[in-house]
Amino acid sequence: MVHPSIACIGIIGKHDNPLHIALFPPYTTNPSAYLEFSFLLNASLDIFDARSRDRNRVDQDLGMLQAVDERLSIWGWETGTGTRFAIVIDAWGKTGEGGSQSPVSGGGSRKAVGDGDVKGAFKALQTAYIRLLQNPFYTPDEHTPTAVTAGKGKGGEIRSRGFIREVKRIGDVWKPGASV
Amino acid sequence: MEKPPAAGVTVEYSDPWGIYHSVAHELHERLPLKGLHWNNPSGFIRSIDNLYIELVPDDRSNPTPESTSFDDSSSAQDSGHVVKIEASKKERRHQFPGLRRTPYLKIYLLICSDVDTYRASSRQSVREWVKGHTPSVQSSSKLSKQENHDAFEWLIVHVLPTSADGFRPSSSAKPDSNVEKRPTSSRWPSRSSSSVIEKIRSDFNGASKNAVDRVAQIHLAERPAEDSVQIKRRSQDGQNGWDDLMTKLKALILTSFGLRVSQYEEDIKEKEMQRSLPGWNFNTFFVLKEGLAMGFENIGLLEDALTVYRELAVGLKAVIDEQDGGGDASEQTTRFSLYTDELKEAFERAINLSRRNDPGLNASPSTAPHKANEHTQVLDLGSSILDTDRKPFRNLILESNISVFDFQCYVYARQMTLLLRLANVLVQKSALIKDTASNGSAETHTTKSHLPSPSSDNSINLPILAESIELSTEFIASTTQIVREDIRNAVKRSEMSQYTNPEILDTIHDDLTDSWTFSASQCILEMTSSSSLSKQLDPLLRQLKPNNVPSNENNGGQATDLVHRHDLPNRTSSLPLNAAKPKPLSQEILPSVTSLDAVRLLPPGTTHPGASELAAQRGDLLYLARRVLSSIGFRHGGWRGNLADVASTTEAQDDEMQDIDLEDELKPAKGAAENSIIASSALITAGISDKNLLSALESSKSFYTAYEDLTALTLACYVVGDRRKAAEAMTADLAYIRFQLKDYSMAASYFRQLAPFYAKDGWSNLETVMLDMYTQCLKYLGRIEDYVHVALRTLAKAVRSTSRAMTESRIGSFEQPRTWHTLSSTSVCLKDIIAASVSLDQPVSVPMDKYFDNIRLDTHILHSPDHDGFTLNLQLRNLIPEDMEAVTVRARLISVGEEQRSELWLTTEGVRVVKPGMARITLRSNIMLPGWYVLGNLSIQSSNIIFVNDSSPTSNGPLLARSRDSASSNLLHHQDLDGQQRLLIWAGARSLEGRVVHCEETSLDQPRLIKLEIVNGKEQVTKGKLLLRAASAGLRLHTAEAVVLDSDFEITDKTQPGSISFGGLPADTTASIRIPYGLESDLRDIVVRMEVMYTTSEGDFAYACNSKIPIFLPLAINVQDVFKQNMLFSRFTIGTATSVPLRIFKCSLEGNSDFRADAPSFTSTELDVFDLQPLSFISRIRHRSGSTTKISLQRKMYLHIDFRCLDEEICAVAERLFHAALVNTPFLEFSRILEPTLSSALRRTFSAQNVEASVLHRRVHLGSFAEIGWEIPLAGLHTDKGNKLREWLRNWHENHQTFSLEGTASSSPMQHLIVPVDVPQVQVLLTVRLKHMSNLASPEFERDCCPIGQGLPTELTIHHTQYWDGSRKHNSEEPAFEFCYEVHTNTDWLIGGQRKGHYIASEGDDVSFSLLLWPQRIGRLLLPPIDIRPSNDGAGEQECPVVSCEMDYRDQSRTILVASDLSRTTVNLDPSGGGGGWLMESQSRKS
Repeated sequence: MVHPSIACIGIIGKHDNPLHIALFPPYTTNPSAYLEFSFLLNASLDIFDARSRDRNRVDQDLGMLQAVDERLSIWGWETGTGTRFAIVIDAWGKTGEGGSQSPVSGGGSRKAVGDGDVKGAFKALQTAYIRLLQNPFYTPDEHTPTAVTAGKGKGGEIRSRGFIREVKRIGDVWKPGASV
Repeated sequence: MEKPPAAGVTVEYSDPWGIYHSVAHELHERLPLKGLHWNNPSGFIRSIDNLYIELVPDDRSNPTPESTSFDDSSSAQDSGHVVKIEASKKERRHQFPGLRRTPYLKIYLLICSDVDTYRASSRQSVREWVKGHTPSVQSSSKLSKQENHDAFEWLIVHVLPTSADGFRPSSSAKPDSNVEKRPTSSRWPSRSSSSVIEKIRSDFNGASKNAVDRVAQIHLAERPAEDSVQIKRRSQDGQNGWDDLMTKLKALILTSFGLRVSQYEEDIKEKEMQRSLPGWNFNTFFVLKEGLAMGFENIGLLEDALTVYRELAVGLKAVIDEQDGGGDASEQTTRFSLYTDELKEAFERAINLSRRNDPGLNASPSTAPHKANEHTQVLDLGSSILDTDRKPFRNLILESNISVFDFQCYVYARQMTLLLRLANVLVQKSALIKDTASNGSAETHTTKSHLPSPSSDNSINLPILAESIELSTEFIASTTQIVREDIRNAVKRSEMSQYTNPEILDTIHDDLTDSWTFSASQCILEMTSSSSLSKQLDPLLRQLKPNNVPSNENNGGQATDLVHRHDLPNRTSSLPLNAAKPKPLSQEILPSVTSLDAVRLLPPGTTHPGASELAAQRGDLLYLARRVLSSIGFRHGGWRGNLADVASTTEAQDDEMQDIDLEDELKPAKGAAENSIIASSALITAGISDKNLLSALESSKSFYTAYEDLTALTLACYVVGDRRKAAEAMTADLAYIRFQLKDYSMAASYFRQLAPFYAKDGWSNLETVMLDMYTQCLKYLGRIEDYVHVALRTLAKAVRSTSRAMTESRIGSFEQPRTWHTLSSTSVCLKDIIAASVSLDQPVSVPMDKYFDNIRLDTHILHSPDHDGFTLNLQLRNLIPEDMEAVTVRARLISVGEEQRSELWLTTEGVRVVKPGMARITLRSNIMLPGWYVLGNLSIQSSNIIFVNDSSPTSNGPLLARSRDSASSNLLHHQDLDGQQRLLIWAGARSLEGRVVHCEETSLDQPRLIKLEIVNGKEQVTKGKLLLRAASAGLRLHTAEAVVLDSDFEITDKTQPGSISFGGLPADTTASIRIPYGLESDLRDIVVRMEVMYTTSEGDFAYACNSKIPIFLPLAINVQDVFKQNMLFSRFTIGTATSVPLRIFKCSLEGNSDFRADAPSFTSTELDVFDLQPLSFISRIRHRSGSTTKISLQRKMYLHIDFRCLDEEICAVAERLFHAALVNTPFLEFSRILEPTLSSALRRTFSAQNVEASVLHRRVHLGSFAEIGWEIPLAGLHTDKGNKLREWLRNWHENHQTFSLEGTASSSPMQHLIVPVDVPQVQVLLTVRLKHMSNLASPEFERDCCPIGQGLPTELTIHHTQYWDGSRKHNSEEPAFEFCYEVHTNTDWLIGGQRKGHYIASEGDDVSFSLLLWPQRIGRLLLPPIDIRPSNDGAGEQECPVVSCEMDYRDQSRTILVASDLSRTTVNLDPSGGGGGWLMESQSRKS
């Protein structure tokens, strides 16, 4: 039995700037994965825009944004302040066994990811992000592209250790439908 | 006439008289039914705009197929289907009610012209029909549920023929009714017929009031082909009849529909409640519910049908999940078969194919065409995804024999069909079905040739179409997984896995899955293409595919949009490439545009609502297909089209690409490696069932062409769909493909735009990739200049991310090993850049801090023990992960604290390799220019690339001005001046030093002099050169008149202004040179910059200094001359000019050949002169004997003064003391900074008062450690030594708080001032005497005594001499001058005689005038003053020569005692005391 797992978590600021991108196994060892996910996350921002324009939206959960291929799908969440969380789900799970396994040896069946399954991870992410904002040493205004080009702050990305650790934890323990 | 959709309501007609054909035409004209309103049980009224009806003949009445009917073939086909099911109706009725297409309405067509006929025959047959077909429908409400699923209504239609001519029964019609009808109808058709219809109504309509009217009457019209005018003239009755029929049709259909729906819903509810019970079967539930959905669909309520299907899809998913998740499958009654036969079959075929093409047996390329043929046999399941009839799905479901894949496909296909109908896309389903029927199920792939004609009108509902694509994307993405497992399960159960290589098995497995995904998405794309969209896409595509790459013809089905493009002209003029090329890239390396050309080209005004959503969704689906193509391409050819892969492929590709020429690319064989790839791919492509994929895999060219087409299409869709960022990502891939195809110029123009786009939002890793790719493009293009610029930029980006990663890893070691290293390992390598830069015309300078950090200069210099140069260490961290050859490293130091800004360059010698990480570079300078410095800039040059670190202050002026102020006021402020690190450069104790001082000897009538001292140190100087530059305005240094003061020293060349070359100078000697200078204006001090360039055995060195020399004289001299007849008295007063006390050692006036000067001798050799106590002495000057006769006299004399300023002396003493203390310590090496610091600090503390006091006390207070400001130079020293020195200095200060000036007279050089003094000359010296003759007048008085009231006869004698007239010509005639004298009167004297007078006198004349003076009072009276001046009264004013004259009034201060002239006097005083007295008598002296 293979559970879908989180392949990538992206925290994206409201100016479409990447705040934090975390990869998870099996992608951590793939040299091109970081780039690939960067492209995916960047491209998904359009869908974020389109979804957030939708007036009927009540929830911060934007649901599945795009089915990239048989393995990957992008799910989105937008906070009230415009910060976006994108989670890329890998249907083949952490070991990647869901697909690459030889037909001879056979593999377990997999569980599909439903609409509410990712919500738990998003909520945990939001909690972590709120905690980050409460950190007096974290100034959100320093993490905008204009601030970075102006030389203020220390670069656009989030460097809070606690936050990064929490994101990693969320990505590691998430299972479909489970609360994290 | 519109084509009816696949579904509709079935209406069965019974036509015993064969009149259907006559009615059919008119009936069809009125179809479909319009404007139906169905009131569903939940209370909503649903409107059905169009209801299509299929008229099906009763199986009893007319079974003959209608080949000439207006009905299209679908109804015929359907009817066959229905008939088939009807046959087995009885058995299956209870099991799957939803599968049948039972009629909603049954019509009995009755033709009967009069009542009699009706009564005779027709009534009976109608009655029989009613009985046979509607058993107890109306009468009984106790219907079984199953029957209610097929609920129907019935209707009797009475047909009245309008005219005999018009009525032509078909061959199949029964002839008997024909004969009877003709006369009746021609006469009163309506009347007779109305009676018939009434009869029928009364017979069949039931008795009750609210019974439904089930009888309708229509008139038969003429054949429409004959005369259209007659149709218009149809009677009103006929029209009404038809309307009535239609209304009844609608009402009755709705009634039966309502019955059915409510029955279904009831059943579904019941079934659903049993869900938890054991034995519940989803499949039966599904079929039941689908019956409802089909009912909705038939009636035209597509949304309701869709809703039902969606519920079913969710239910299905849940069941499947349950089956997967639930471990004990035995509990579940719902089982799906684990694999699909078709998929298994396809897999087996592929395996067989691959075995046949085993390279071991037959590897020759000639098998390729054969192989292609083989492939066409392979079943392509993906493309028939929407075909619900390729398999008897419903039967399979009912038999519980359906696979998960098939089930999902079926539910999806049904939804899609409904969505497409909703979106108004007309799918020629019939064509598909017919095809399938005729060719058999195995040949479904040929349906590809029957493309649905995309509706060109605007009626297509684009948002719904978009929704359908979204559904498809999701479905395909998730179902691919099912396909994969399906095959896996199939393989597990078969034995074929034992024969085949598991690798090949895997590949085929993957290929099959991928090709299913690909062809399925292509199929959906074809189904949903909209012409309105392609109108927008076309210009974009033309833009994106500029060069004429002939599209592979096999790719025609790739996407419909590509087909559109073939006949369009290709644009080459306005390509982004061409637009970019003429741009001077050196000015703007990367454009500032943030949107792509393609985005900007978007035609404005997308009129169709939903077009952009549709485009976006299509883009997503295309993206899905693209990924499949990409993964297949990589699997089989190793081709990559995804820019994201670049990180892992860069190196490998790099090597390959450099070797391959562009021309070679088209050749099939690239080399052994390539061949093997092709061979192995040929072996395995067996798994690919999609034709397009196969053709794409033929060669790398075809792959990239196909991939590019797909990418371009995706890009175009995203652009139209307003998905900017996705479009950018596609552009990046497009560019990468161009790059792979070695179209570097095109790729470069793309990448050039992309980099700033990603930079904008801070996606720096993406930006880095773009820049990197751009760099590579430029490299291949050979645009060296751009390459160097961009590559350096890329390098900087990479370096920055690396350094960030390094810091991050330092901060958080818990972080997983991120792939930073791959990010930073761009293909750009510094070595290449440097190599490329060789050919550049001019060097490129880049900021250093992007590539290096921790750039730090040492805070102190190090003197070399061997020579006079010094070194300075530079520390920096090289962030570039490779060695760098630094050809020259230069540091520019800018002096602070001086008026003149000096620069000093430090350099390295030779090539240095700077390794990654911390590096230390020793900079060296042979030039010594002592002072404080800040780092101006730092440059590291390697070939034509210069890394520059410019930290110099932006505006030099204010900073220097401020630092100058601060140098004097705030001592410690020096150290952190604007955060700039300051550096002290100082000369070592035993190195050559140059000094410029004022010459001790000053002669006021000579040009003034400066003295240059060159103090040589430890090295023998072989030759040297002095460069002098006047740094003050108006200063002229006359170097040509330099004089050596030491004999050892030789000036070799002084002809060049400002430069003096000199010969050797031995070690430890001092050479002095005196140089005169001139000044144009009065200055208190002059600034001279001196540079000594000298050569020793160690090399060339230079010493430079700026010297500020005070040139004002510290003393002031006044002279007062008094002329006498033969001598001159000069009184000299020497005071201080600056209130600084002076000590005068010698002061003398030197006589000359004509004059002799006598000066008094001083009692003491040293005289201190203070501000209020000047020195004054008188010197007597006389003609030497015989000199008066000389024609011209040497009048010039010199005043020699030896003096010393006492402040200088104090400093000198202090320095001497300090030096003496320093000599025996290790700090002697610092003497060159310490001693000047001490004296300048002392000098700063001097004021007139304390110097005076010090001089008077002969003791000087030396300031404390802090007052001297030792911290400033200490800050510039090495910390350890500085600390020790500080300690020593503190001690020294404690022991030397004051020092004595006694016994230090000879310590400092005396200054010798020579002042030229001219003996003054005057033309005429008048010696005036006023001789009185008092003894003559009254001899009893003494000589200077005079009685009052008596005149004193005097004689005024004026003696003329021209003794002091230097211009006197002795030989010429003596000129006579006219003078005027005047004796001034005052209250003392009355003057008698000529008080004023003119006279003429010449040399040697004595003139006398007699005067009588009357004294006016008693006492000592001064003789009256006399004034004599040259007269100009008589002569004309113009010819009066100015005569200078001095008067020596000998009797000037002589007094005369004036007394009363009485010798005796008698006064009588009144004794009575009456007051007053009387002068009795008195006696004059004379008498």
